[in-house]
Amino acid sequence: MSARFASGTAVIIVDRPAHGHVRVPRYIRGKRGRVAECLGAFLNPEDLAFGKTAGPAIPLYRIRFQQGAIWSGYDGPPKDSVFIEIPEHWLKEDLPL
Amino acid sequence: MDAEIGRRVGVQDLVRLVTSEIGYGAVTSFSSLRELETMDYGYHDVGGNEAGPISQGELRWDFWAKQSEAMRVILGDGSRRLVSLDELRRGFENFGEALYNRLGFYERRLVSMVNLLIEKEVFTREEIDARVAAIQLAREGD
Repeated sequence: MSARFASGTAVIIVDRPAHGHVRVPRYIRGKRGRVAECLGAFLNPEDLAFGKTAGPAIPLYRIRFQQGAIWSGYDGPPKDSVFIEIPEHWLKEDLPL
Repeated sequence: MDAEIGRRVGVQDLVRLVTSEIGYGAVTSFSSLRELETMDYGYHDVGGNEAGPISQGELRWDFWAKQSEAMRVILGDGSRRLVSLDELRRGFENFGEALYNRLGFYERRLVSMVNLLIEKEVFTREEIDARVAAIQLAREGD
């Protein structure tokens, strides 16, 4: 499975209910970030959590978020960032309106 | 569909898992299972919540915890693949909030590992209960 998003692509984290074992933290769902790099492709932890190892490898990205875009009232320097590794099926492209 | 699941897992196994003292004890009814399923996030998913002051002290790291972690690594290695970290996490993320919060970090991992090994029929609940009882008896004799 080849990577859909190039480095620098603006993305939104999909905001959907998470059941079972999901490694995308709640506080980042629905937030906007940018692809820092693709880290390769890995089996989906949401399937591995139930012992299913037959699924396809899914591209995993390191996404950069500005702290100020995540927390309301954040008063640190604007360049403060948080990086989170997120699999492709939790990302959609943040297209300009 | 319920009947199908019942046939595959064995209804008795399912009931025992859901009601057992050691693992899924906090999930005592099917209505609370449904509540869990309708939540948008797990009770473990607390990143970003207000947490108050952070304790900076050293935490205990008991010998049993090191032993159980060592066993987990051996059981999950390339030649065995009996227990993965993702399965382990799925396990304790379904304990129910009360049990999850009552157990410590290594206790959660151990209880989840035991549940998984029972699910995978590596041993039975009766076998581990009998072994624990035998060890306790031997200790009392010391």
